[in-house]
This record gives sequence, C-alpha cells and structure tokens, in this order.
Amino acid sequence: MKKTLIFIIAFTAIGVFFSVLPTPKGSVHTVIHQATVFNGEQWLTNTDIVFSQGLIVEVGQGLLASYPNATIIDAQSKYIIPGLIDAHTHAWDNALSQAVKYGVTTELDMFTNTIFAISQRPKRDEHQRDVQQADLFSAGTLVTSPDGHGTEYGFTIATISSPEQAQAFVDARIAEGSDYIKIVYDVKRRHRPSISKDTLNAVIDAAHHRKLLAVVHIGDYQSALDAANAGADGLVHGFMDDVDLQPLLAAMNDRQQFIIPTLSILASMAGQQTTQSVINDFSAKPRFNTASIKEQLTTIRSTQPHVQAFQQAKDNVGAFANAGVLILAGTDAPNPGTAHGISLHNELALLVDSGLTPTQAIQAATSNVALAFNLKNRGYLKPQMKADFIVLNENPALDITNTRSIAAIYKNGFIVRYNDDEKKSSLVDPNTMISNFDNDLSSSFNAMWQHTTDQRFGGDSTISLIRADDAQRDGNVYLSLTGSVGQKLGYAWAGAYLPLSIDAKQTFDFSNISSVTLNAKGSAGNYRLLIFSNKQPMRPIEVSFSVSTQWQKIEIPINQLSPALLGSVTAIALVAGKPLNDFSLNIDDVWLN
Amino acid sequence: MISLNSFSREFILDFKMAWREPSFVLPTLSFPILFYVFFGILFSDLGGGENSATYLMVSYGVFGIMAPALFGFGATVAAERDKGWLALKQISPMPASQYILAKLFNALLFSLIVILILFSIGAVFGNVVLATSQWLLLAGVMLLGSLPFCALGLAVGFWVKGNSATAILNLIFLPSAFLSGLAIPVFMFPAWLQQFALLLPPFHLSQLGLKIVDMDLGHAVGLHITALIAATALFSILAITGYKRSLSQ
Repeated sequence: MKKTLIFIIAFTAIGVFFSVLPTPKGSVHTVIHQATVFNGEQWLTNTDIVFSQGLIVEVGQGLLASYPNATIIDAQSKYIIPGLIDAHTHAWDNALSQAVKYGVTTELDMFTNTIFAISQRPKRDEHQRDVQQADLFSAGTLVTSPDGHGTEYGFTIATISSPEQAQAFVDARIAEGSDYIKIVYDVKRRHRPSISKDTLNAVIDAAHHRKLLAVVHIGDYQSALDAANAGADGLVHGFMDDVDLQPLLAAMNDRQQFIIPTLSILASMAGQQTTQSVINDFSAKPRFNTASIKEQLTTIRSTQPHVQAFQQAKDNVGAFANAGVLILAGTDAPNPGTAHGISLHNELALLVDSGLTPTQAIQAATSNVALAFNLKNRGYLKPQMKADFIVLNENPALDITNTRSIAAIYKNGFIVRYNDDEKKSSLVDPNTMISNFDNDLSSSFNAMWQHTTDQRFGGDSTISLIRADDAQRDGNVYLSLTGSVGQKLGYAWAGAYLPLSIDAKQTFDFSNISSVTLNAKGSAGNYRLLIFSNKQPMRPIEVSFSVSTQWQKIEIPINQLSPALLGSVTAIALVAGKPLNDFSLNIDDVWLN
Repeated sequence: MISLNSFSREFILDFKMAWREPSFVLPTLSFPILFYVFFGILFSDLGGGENSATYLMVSYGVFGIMAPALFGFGATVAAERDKGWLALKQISPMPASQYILAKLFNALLFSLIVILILFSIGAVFGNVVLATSQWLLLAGVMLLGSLPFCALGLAVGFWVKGNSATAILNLIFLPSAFLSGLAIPVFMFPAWLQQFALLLPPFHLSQLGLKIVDMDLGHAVGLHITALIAATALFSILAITGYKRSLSQ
C-alpha cells in the first residue's frame, strides 16, 4: 500500500515536472522590417509587418521594439504586396502548388471536379500550416443546360433544364460544398445550348435565398446585360462587343456588381500573343520552371489575330473602370493560352493596358476580390489577415511588370520554396561577383548586407555600415564598417553579414569556389571571414585574413574547408574580433573565385 | 517466475545499497550537473546563449545517463561477484533475471534523476525552451538510450574483477564521452576524429537527442538507432557469455 502510494506520488511529480518545463510562447513572431507595403488600400513606407502562426499581428512603423524575441527579416528597399488572388481559374492536379510559386496565394475556381474541391477547401483554414500551395475557393459544379458549356469535358455533370429545378439544383451544389454558384448563360446560344433567361433568374434567386453569391459566365454584351438585370453578383468574363455600354454600366453600378474581365483568355481567343513578356521575365530566373508551360501559353487561335476585337475588350474594361465598376483580376487558367500563377502577372499588365493604374490593378487581384467575394482573412495586409504576401525587388506602383521581380513569397508565413522535391543546394559558379556597393548594399544573391554583432548574445560590440567613397578610389563607392569589439564576451565580434537568401535558409553549394577576394583597407590587424552552413548550425566556419591601412586586394582561400559544409552555405560575414578594439574596415568588390 | 513482491524487495535493496555508496552517488549525480552548470550556463558565451544551453543539456544528459548505467551495473556486479554474493544469489530461488532487472530499474531511476535535474537547470538558468513533446521525447530517448550502456556495464561486470572493473569502466567512460563530442561538439574535431565518433554509441545517442532539438549533424535517424541496437546486442551477448562463465566457476 505504502509502496503503491510512493509510486503514484513519484509519477504524478514527474508528470507535473514535465508540464511546467518552459515551452515556446505565442511570441514566435516574425517581423518583416522597413518595407514599402501596399496593404490592399494604400502604400505605406518604412513599414514593419509582424506575423505569427500564419496570421498578421500588426502592420505599422517602428514595431521592432515591441517584439524583442522576433525573427527579423530586413526588407529595406523591398516592396510588399498582398498575396495575389486569381478570381477565375479551373483548379485540379498541381494547379494550387504551381500558382503559389508565382505569388498567387488564393484561387477562386469557377468549375472543377467536386472531389478536388472537397479535398482542397479545408486547407485554406489551416493558417498555421506550411502548405506550399494556394488556397482554394470553388464553385464546384457549374450551372448549365443539358449539352451546354461545361458538359464537353468528358465527365458527366448535373444539368438544369427548367426554372422549377433551380432551388433543388442550388441546394445540391451547397451539399457538395460550393462556395458560390457559377452559372453559364449565353443568350445567343452561339456554340452550344444555354439555360433560358427564366432559369438564369431562378438560379440567381435560389442562390441568394441561401445567401450564396451567384456569378455568371457570359461571352457577349446582351448576355451580360441579362445577367446584370437578373441580379447576378458579378460577371466572370469580359466581352469584345463594340456597343454602347451605358445601360449595362448603369445596371451594374446600381446593384454594385463586379466584373472579372479575364483578358488573358480573351487575348488567347483573339489570337493576340501577349504572354511573351511574362515568359521572358520569369525564364530569366531558373527557379521558375517556365520551359514546361511555354506550350500552354500559346494562343488558342493560331491564324490572323483579331487585333481590333481584343482592343475592344480592353477598351470595355477601361469603360467599366471609369464608370466605377469593381474590377477583379482573373485568368481562366489553365485554358489554352493561360497557366496557373504566371498568367495573373500578365492579366495585371493587360488591366493596366486597359486604363487601370498599376495600384488599381494590384487591388483588382487582392482587396477587390476579397471585397467582392466576401473573403474574410485575405486580400489585405492587416491584423488577422493571413500572412500571404509577395516581397518584390522593384516598385510595382511605377511599373506593373515589377510584380515579376519576386524576391520571396510567403504563404501562411512560410516562405515558398522552389526546389522542394530535391532540396538541393544551388551550385555557385566561380567568378561570381557578390557586391561592389556602387548602388546600394545589395548583392548578386537575393539579400542585402546587414550589420552583425555579439549583442545578440548579450555582448557589447558595436558596428555601423555606410557606403562611402574617397578621392583615392576615384569616387568608387565601397562599404565602410566602423565599430568596436566589445570586452564583455570572450568570443566577441562586429561586422557585416550577408544572408544568401532572404531568410538565410536556402543553401548554396560553394564546392567550386576556391577563394573569396575583396579589396580592403582599415585598421591593421586580423579579421575573419565567416561561412555559415546549415550542416553546422552552432557555429560558422572561420578563415582569418589580415588588412593593412592601404587598399589592397585580399584573397581568402576556402578550398581547404570541409566539402560538406561548403556544399550547404546559407550566409557569409566579414567581422572583426579580439584583439582589435575600435576599428574601421573598408571593403569593396567582393567576389567568389 | 518473477514475483512482484520479491522483485520490489530486491529493487529497494539495490537502490539503498547504491544510495549509501558515496563513491557511486556523488560522481554520478554531481559530474554531469557541475559540467553543465559550468560549460552550459556560466561560460556559455562560446557558440551563444540558449543555443549552447540546449545543445549541452542534451550532450551532458547522455554523459549523465552513461554513469549510472556503466557503474551501477559494471562496478557493483563485479564487486558482488568478488564478495561471493553473486554466487549466493545464483543458488537462491530468485531468478537471475530478477537480479538483473532490479539493477536495470535502478540504473534507469538514477538516469531519470540526472535528467530531471539537468532539465530543471537548463529551463531555469539556461533559458532552454522546448515543446512539451520535445522535453518528453528527449527524456524517453535518454532513458531508452541507456540500455546499450547497461549492457556494456554488465558485460564488464561479469568479465572483469571488482577493482579493475571500475578502472576499466573509467577508461571506457571518459574517452568515449569526450570523443563522442559530449564535452566539445564533434564538428570542432579534425575530420578523421569525426569519422571515429561514428563508432561510438554515445555519439549516436547524443545525435538522436540533438535531432529532437534540431541541432544534429544531419545523419539519418535510422543510422543512429541501428548503431544503438547493434551495440546493445553485442554487449548483451558479451554479458551473457560472461554470466555463463561466472556460473561455471
């Protein structure tokens, strides 16, 4: 009895012990520091975005001090826009993972296999997970007449033939999980049969009765007008008719209806080749595997292009925009001439061609979609929104094609990876210039030089980095480090740190690199080159080099270092340590040879 | 047959004997804790703060569970053999497995005490922060991971005479702990010495533990587990043949 008691007490004590051991608090924040941010409504300069568990916590200036334990990602001189939403796609297979690689973090599907939709929808609520794919909202099965558009794809779907069936038909879609109702309506019945105007009205009413949005596929002005008058929430295509739009614009403004012009697919149908520029821009970066989708991006129509018809489609979009109709960006991917993800960048450019400003075009692919489809936690960069955003190198407000200058994409707060399957290090070739500091602190890798000191570990070393020039160097700008090595820690350091990717997680293979060279002058003494590898997270490899008070070219051999570590480099740094005290170090022209 | 009552008597007897033996208790409990306090907490500037406190909590944890396993088994079995006590127990109605099992549970109990103290120090003074699952898994891996060292201790205990057993165990314990990177991380060794560490069970156990906190060298989990199972099997065979030899003497 006594023994049993001792046993129970001992076990309880151990249980209590493990339950009080410290665990990570909710304070695992990441701060994207000092970016120029478009929050879905306006541009904010010098702004920090704080996120945790896949959700944005705070957006504003000078937030760093409030989150002392946060991971900080320096985004100075970067531009951040919300993750893009493609408002018209057809998603199956690897569509969602393909889309996210181009910054499309949400897709609104307008008709797909219900099984795909059912299996993918729940993932959009798992905001804390590293999903590496876009979130999906889906209409599921579309609403069309027997033999109507939508029935030609080789699998049988339910169809509707009279207004009386409307409520039951809509309820069946709701049972399948449809997020909104997508209706095909073609008053001219040009290619295929279509539901009647009465059925159109009845289905829209039935959807509204169940508090669902009803959106309508149209291909011409008259169909659009019928759909608008029937009270549809939005039109999911534009059209190429050259007509007086006034009655339609008035009707749509009255009812606050939106339009998704899908210029990408209209261009393809008109035989207007518009995709070359996105292919060129993305194929310049090998991580985007454009070779496999080039074929898909060629137009449907291969004969003489209908230049005038496509110009009319764009003019119509301009008219909608001028009239104040809400415009949403959608591509109709993956129909011929379009592909998931990449085509939305082309759609944005086509919207700007049609008369939208670049910022309006970005809104069309972010906050407008959230507004129109009542999407709760996306489309903006504000507290409680998903941490879905794109970090850009160039300003997209000046030139919409800068949405292609992608530095990094975050989905649920996790960086989108490109070599997920292999996780191989990218091989770095000899004779790669890292930085010459002539324009800024940027490097040929996807990140900038930052300061680093032992303050992280409680030390008292200090450092400042500035770009400077002097007459001796004919005005050639270099990086100037001034600082002091502290006395508090045995292992003190201060210097400049260069992550090779924005979060210093991507690995690079330096096996072919025999040395690092740089021009340097400074306080005479020994400095250290640090090479960080993810194989050795505790401590970087160190190679020391000496600097004199005159400019000289310094070669730091690294070919004797462990191949395993050189194969997985994540960052480098140039630092001063003991016995140096106050020091200055000027460096320029850093190369890998 | 193992009777629960006689087993618990044997267990308590064994525990009291160990507990009253300062040459066992003091070094077993104090060494890993002293080392951890010095190198993991007070002088943790090298490598840096919480990182090194976490890393060294794992490596001194391995160090800490090795001592009760090796000495609790090896030294006591050898001493009891010398005194003729083992022979007495062998002819008593108590099964031999009970004798071993009581010692095994005692080794695990001492290991657990070392782990709990190290975890407390790491958590309170080293700012070590882990998910509850990581804490539990780490403790579990350490306890299970003491099995190869128990087997090794037993083998030495059956093969070597009392006085020399302690000496031999010390010769195994300290160098293998050091060469496995428990005091200084393996990656700071020259390459040939790093290769050598692959032959040592403490290296594999510490790598398993470090994998839980994401600080390992990146070998496959299977390699470490296989190595530890192989070591347990090898030492167990040595122990069994040693035991049979002691029966025939």
